Amino acid sequence: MIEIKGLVKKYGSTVAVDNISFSVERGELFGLLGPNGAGKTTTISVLSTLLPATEGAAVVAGCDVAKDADGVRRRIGVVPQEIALYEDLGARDNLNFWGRLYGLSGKDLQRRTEEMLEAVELGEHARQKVSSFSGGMKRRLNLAAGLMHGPEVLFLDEPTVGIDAQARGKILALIRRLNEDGLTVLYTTHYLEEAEQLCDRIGVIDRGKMVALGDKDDLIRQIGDEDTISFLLPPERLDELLTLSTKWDLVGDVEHRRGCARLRVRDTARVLPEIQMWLAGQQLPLDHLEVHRPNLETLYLNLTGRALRE
Amino acid sequence: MLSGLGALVRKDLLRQVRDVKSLVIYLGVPLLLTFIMGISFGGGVFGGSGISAIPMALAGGDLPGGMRDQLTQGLQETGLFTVTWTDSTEAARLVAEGEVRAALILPDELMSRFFQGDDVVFKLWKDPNSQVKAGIVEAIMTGILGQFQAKEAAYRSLWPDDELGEFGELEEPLEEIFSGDPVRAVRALRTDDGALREELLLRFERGASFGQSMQEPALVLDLHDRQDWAAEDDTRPSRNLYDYFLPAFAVFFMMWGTVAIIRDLHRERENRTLARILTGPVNVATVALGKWVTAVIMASTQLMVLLIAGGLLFGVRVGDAPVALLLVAVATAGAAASVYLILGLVVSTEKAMDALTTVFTLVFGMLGGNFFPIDLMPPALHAVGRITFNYWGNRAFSEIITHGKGLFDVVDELLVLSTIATLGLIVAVAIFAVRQRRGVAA
Ligand SMILES: Nc1ncnc2c1ncn2[C@@H]1O[C@H](COP(=O)(O)OP(=O)(O)OP(=O)(O)O)[C@@H](O)[C@H]1O
Ligand SMILES: [Mg+2]
Repeated sequence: MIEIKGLVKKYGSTVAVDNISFSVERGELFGLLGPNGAGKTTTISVLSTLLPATEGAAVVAGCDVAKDADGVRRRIGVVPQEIALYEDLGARDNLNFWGRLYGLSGKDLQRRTEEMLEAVELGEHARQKVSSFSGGMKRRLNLAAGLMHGPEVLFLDEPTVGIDAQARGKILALIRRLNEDGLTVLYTTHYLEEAEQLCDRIGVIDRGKMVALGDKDDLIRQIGDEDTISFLLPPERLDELLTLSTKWDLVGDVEHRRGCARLRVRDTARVLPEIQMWLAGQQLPLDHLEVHRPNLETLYLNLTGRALRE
Repeated sequence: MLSGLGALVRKDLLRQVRDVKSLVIYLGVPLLLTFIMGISFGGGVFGGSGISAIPMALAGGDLPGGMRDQLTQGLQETGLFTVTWTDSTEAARLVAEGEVRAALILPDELMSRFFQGDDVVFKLWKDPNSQVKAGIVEAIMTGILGQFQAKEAAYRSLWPDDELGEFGELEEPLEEIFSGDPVRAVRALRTDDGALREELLLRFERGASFGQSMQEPALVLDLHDRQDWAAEDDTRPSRNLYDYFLPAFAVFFMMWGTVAIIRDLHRERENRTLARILTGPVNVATVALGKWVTAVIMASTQLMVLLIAGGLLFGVRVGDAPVALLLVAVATAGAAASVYLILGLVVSTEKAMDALTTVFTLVFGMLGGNFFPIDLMPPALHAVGRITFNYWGNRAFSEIITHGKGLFDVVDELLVLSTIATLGLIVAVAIFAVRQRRGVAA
């Protein structure tokens, strides 16, 4: 449904997207995960024919974005990162406009508008001006506007940014429902949890480069299923820990950074109590003893050496 | 494409109409200013005699008292003049000191020179510091004399061998017979000389038809009905300053109104709706055309409302050629929309557009004749004025409103305006397309 090969997009000398390739199958919910400035919006802009690619090719819903922009435009829906609505019009007027733009009219338009208002739970605020909406309401209407014409492919650019957990939950549920009904979705976010919860496949993008790509569970497995245990340890006690740890079947070496020891273990249930006992016996502080399950954050950290949210 | 265009225009119009503040600026303020201007300059319900009368002096001449009174009355009844009779020395002083705007000096022995077919030279002295008002006097006098001469010419062409000077044998000078007591003239017919009587009868008849021809408005200055009078002669400028100012200001307001509509393109770029629109099934041409159509609808409505308000309240003649008026309004709005669309698209921000269009509107308003009649400018600038679209709009409106012309008389202006509109729109779309190709359209 979406196929990108060697996509490069430069703004002057800034390389916003640097040779990215990936594809999204029909009916898939693909997550493009990356921090601020990673190139997510730029990628979507190229895919939605808003920006010409510097290099590379992209095909969306069977149409080449460079050669058949009109074909692409008819088949896609875009929910921009910004609230792209007419604040001086009401919710219904906004949806009517976006519907008409795609050729809806009369009864069809009316029905679709009411349907979408219901879907995003704004039926009661249909006449209210968007300028008086809360952030969450605007986000929901922003989403509805991209769905009016029933697109084949939906681009969602951080559709939950800046809203509370409840509103976010509603939006995610709606997206999941749409996807279950067969809509292909490209979802960008910098929230790990969202990508983990929502997406089938994930691409991790950083500074314009795709640093990881694949099935969500495969990606996590890539890091292994070992847990990471970390705790405070004065450097002079490291040798003792190293001797002790030989019987714990560690993955890799014990790391010691900024007064903190980290070890990756296969059998947490056995090792953790032993560490606790050892620390207690040595009169060392027990606070800061932590166990990390592997997740995308770990993956991201491993891949880039940086935390996702910095 | 068409449904997309409809959606865009409908959305824009809805937003304009819902936005009370912008409607006030768009229609309320211009209407208020029109009203103030109308009260100051206009005629009609509120304006009384219209523009405050232009003081002028008349001097010399040997007009019989009745004709003198008629001339004075006629001039004053136009509502344009207050007339003072004086001698030529005093008239010169009045003009020099700016107490009157112009003085008309009638030649001595006016009547006898006229009836003898001698040259009759009127002198008009104008106050050089009052171009507009003195210009109005000049144009009106030229018009009156033109009519006068035309009728005299008509008479002479009917009777080419008619030499009034021959009638030496008459007891009284001819002009006495024909301008004085009619009973005396009839008595002169009771001569025994049959040949002379026949001759006299013929003269009498011709004199009567000549006299009749002089009964036409030129001589009588029967100018009570300003509108009929203006329609007869299109060479003089507006006799009511408001006739000129109303369309000139309406066009000027319309230019600002158009800027406000086109500016919205930048607002839509900033709030990302433009980008969103461009990911839909419309291209830049449709988007540009959508803004153009909205601007034309709004701007021509604004023009018509202002003109009709001026017509209803202050007696400006806007109803004589409604179709022509509407077409000129639409064509002028179309040209404005295209020009401002180009100006809006060559810059990247609303601020830049505001700066550019403000300078542009003021300069074009000045050059095109929206502040004062373009004829008052030096010829070089006059020519420059013709490159402005508003000049052609002003000219067409002035033809219709001031000179009472119809649709066929403004075809030239309509052609120029539609050409500007069409070419401008094509250029605007081309610029927009280039921006899109460079990725800076939205
Ligand atoms: N119009 C532009 N001109 C120049 N540079 C740009 C432009 N738009 C984006 N960039 C740069 O391109 C890079 C990628 O930006 P992009 O908006 O695609 O990131 P993003 O992943 O969407 O980030 P965010 O999560 O903040 O939305 C950034 O370094 C940004 O500064
Ligand atoms: Mg972004």
